[in-house]
Amino acid sequence: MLTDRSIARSFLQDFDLSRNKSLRTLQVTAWSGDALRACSPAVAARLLTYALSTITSPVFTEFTAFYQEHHFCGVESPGPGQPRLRKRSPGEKAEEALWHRRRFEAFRRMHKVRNFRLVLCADVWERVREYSVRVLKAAVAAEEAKVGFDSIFPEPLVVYRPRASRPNPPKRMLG
Amino acid sequence: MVIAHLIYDKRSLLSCSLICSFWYTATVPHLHHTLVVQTFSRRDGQKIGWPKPLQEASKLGLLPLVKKFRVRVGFSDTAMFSRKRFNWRTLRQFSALRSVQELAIDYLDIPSFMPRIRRYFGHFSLTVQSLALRKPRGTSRQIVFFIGLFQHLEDLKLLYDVIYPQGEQANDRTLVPSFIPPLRGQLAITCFRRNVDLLKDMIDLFGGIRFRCMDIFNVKGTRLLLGACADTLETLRLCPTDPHG
Repeated sequence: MLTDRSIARSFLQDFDLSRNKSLRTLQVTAWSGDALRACSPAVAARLLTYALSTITSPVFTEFTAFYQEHHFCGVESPGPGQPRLRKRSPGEKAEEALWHRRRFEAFRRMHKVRNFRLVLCADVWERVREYSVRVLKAAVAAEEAKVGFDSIFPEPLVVYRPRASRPNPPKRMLG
Repeated sequence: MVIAHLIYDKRSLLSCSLICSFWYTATVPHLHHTLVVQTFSRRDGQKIGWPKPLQEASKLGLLPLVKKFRVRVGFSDTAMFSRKRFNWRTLRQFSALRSVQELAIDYLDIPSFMPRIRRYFGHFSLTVQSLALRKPRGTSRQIVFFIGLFQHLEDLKLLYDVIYPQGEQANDRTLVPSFIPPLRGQLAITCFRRNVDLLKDMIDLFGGIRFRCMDIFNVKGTRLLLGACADTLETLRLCPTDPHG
């Protein structure tokens, strides 16, 4: 079984990005446990900080964190491609706010190691797009109110990445 | 122009196609852009699997319109996509897929197609730009040989599950790919725990790889890949969003 230590060791060996001189963007899912080879979120954040510290590319500018359906308390997915909204309890709202707060703390720690523009990207199905972008913007606003952003760590950009697949043709298509 | 906004909405496209012959002509390439063929033989008593969708599309002459073709094998289905699935008629229909740009095949049994693999996949050679293989079977050389069938291949996906069966067949070192694809787009690899020979062979036989974007999750040989794309890599994704499509 993989332990945090063994994961960390192999990650440190693998993710030395000092040779990648044209690296512009590092993209990760908003690690909630399984993002980096099933290690704990705290270790995942430290490993990402390490990966950032090895970057020597002069064109590196962007760090994108992807948020998927399971990162939002108010979204449930009964089947693939069929997310739906549900009501969040006050406790869940508070828990989600704390979760975002911790992510921002980690982003700030990473930012100290390597300068980047933070992008929060909602990588969800179209039907929960509006909700997820709203939650991310609310998290950014909460962070702004609590700690604030400045020219060194500017306000993150919240974007949506369309996720869509083309359907199979209808069974009875006119020829 | 209006049609371009509806390309993901099958019902609207279908409605548009019924308006007049001009709208039909405009919508039909979008309606038949993607063809997914499953290998499941029966569901609700109906025969839906391979090669029925291929036969139906062939009857109507729609196969040349397909730009994205996927052969899907279900989780419960242990069968491979092998040469046994073809007869002369199926092969003729399969060969009519002449415009496919994105090709995805689950559980491709490459050894079963050897040595006449070009007879089955040669018609994709000029058009395919994106290839996705989920749990392909074969030696490292055979997989690299298969990838080398596609002259203009830019994007490559190699998707494995967490558990990969131990023990690989001996490599046939005489197999040399027919073409050197550009491989300048995106590389996505998940749960790649097999021998890194596949990656080494790909780098050696294709004269290096030049991917601009890499999507890596649980890959043995990450260091090798990052080193091989040292001059070209612009975007690194450390966790794929939807590894199994």
